[in-house]
Amino acid sequence: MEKGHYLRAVDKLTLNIPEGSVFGLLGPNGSGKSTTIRMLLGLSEPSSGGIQIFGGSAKDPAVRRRIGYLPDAPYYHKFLTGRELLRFFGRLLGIPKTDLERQSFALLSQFGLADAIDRKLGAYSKGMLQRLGFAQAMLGDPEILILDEPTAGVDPVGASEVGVFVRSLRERGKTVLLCSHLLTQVQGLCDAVGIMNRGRLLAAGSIETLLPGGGNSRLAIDGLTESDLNEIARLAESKGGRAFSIGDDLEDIFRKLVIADDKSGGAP
Amino acid sequence: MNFKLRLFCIWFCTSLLVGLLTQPLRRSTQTLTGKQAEESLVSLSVGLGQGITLAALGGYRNIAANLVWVSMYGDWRYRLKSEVAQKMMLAVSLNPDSIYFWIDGSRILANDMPVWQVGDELMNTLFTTPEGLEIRKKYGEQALAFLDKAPERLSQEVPILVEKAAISWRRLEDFDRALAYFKQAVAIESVPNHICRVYAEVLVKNGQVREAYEYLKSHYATLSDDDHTALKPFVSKRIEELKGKLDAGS
Amino acid sequence: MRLFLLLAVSGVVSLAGGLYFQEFNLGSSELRFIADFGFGAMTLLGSIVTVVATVQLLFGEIEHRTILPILSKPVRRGEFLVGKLLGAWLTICSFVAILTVALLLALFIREQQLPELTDETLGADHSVSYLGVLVFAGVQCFRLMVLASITAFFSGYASSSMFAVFMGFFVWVIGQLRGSLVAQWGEGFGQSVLKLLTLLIPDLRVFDLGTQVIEGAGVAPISIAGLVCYALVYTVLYGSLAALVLKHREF
Repeated sequence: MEKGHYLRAVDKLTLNIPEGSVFGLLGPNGSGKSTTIRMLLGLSEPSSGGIQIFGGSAKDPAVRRRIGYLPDAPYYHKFLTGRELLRFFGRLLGIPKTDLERQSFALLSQFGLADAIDRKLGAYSKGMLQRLGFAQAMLGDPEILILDEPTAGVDPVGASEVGVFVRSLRERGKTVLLCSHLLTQVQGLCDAVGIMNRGRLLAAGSIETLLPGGGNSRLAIDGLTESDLNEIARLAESKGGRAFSIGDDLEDIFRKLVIADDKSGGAP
Repeated sequence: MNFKLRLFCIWFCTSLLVGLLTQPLRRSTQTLTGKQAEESLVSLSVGLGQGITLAALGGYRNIAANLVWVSMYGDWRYRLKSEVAQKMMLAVSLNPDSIYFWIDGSRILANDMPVWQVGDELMNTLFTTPEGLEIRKKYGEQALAFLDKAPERLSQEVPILVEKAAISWRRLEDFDRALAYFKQAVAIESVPNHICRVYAEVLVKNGQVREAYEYLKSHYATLSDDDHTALKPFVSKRIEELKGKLDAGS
Repeated sequence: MRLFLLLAVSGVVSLAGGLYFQEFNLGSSELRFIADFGFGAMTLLGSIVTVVATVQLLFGEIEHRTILPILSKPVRRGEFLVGKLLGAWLTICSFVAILTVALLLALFIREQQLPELTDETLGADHSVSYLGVLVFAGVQCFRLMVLASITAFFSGYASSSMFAVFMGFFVWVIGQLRGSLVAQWGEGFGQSVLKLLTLLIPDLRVFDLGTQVIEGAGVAPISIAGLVCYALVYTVLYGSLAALVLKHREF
């Protein structure tokens, strides 16, 4: 869809994200995920085709008012405090002053930043900045949340908190589009995923439809040593089956698709 | 057409259009900024280094002019005629509003440069030989030409007019021209009283005793008793002397 | 901010220089000499502040990607640009205001001291028009606004801050020397072409009111209005071009 001089960052991408669902956009670095997100936000423009959100263009500020965006890195002014940052973004959203103060404090408290509310962002840790990002994305109670790498640079505890938060968004009927490299987490969170490579969508659909075998032939094994596991794997292969880790299901699919695509040279 | 090319075309056309449309506006504002001579970038950077160019660019024009003048005096010590003339022009280009530059510059041209040309030993030849006279007049004319370049509002001020008169009188021995400048000077309300008296004496020297007498009489009528520079008794005495001279003549 | 403070201090120091470097003063009145230093600081350092602040405010947002969360909110790119330009102008006006206050103070203090001095400056005009200083400062704010909008145009287009800063200074130099370029480096047909080309760049020299304003002379309101119009026309032109560039920029 986007045509640069030397590189087509996103090519013939068609995505339908139903309202109230959590959609995971997966792909290796440079696959066009962030470009897709920027096009959704009107920050980049497709050379052909179009994007509609709530039936309107992302270039329309009224549409963007209904979208919350968490960037892939904390691109905020370091000289502001947490409270000032939310005040700044709240004003851009046109939230009335008293409402804004109340909302800012509630969001900062919700994301565990109540103590750091008047601290400059330059003194925030990476995890704190990420939580502040969530708070700013949630300002104005948007209907769509676009989360670009929400778990990037966050420790495992923080990552699981992100999972809890996204689930809560789904429960509140929000539509969520997220990019993540933590595929196992995405698997548990998303209603549907799209796998991208070299700007093209390789596969899309619900987790169930993407995973082979349905699940009847799967077996979970616990408490064995590495050599025992290897022996079982060999036995499974000799019987025409295969043994694999359940936790890596989606990752496996992902890797297979990307490697196959790379081998084919990216031909459509 | 790609965006870069389109942008260039838009910029070119709109800038040109706005440039043309604002020409009258630009010209009208030049009365405010003063008619300043355009400085020579080449001589600026070659003669004085980039610092002066930057200073002149940035608004320290008058400071730069002062520095140029100081540097001119460095060359003056070694009697480097062309360098001195060049730097004088540069200084007045940078700050044409300084009467000091115009007067001091014209004096260097009229008084110092002829001596530099003939040498200290032959200084007297400037007043005695035809060659010397020619040199003196050449530099006198140059000094007047230099003063003619002063901005209009300055050239109508007493110090410049008097300086032109003095050069015409002392260096060129051209009384008619000197008197014309003096006449302009004394017509100015704020003219110092001594200039008026000098004007009358130059008239006398030029053989115009009646004009001098008439002028001094009219001048005397304007003098106040409180003004110590008026020298009323002296003027009165001089009027009497001129009257006597006129009576004797008739 | 640090640079702003540094330049503000330099400006004030330069002004103090005017008080203490009187040996370079040739012929003009002492107060005018002090004013020269103040005006010089306003225009030279003001131009530096303008270019650097505009690049920092506009291109800095692009470079550090802080523009991404801002533009994802319901903010049009044109609104963003206007906000940034107003921010830059506020910075410029604050800078000019600091130097103006310092200059007025220096002039006032010196004027109070002058009658106590010896007769060495007799004959020079001691009077000073404080209104003239304010007029000069106001006109500089408009000159620097033009420079800010030109720098914003290049900032919107640039892919490095160096380019934006360089182009800002380049246009400043060309704008200052526009008249001289035609006078010095062209003749005949070449000069006509050069004259046409110089129309492309605003003439920043028209804002150099000179020190006569300090004497209270030549401050015709109609001419000041002309200068303000001239500045506004170019600010709108380059502001619109900057908006066009920003509208087409991919993030």
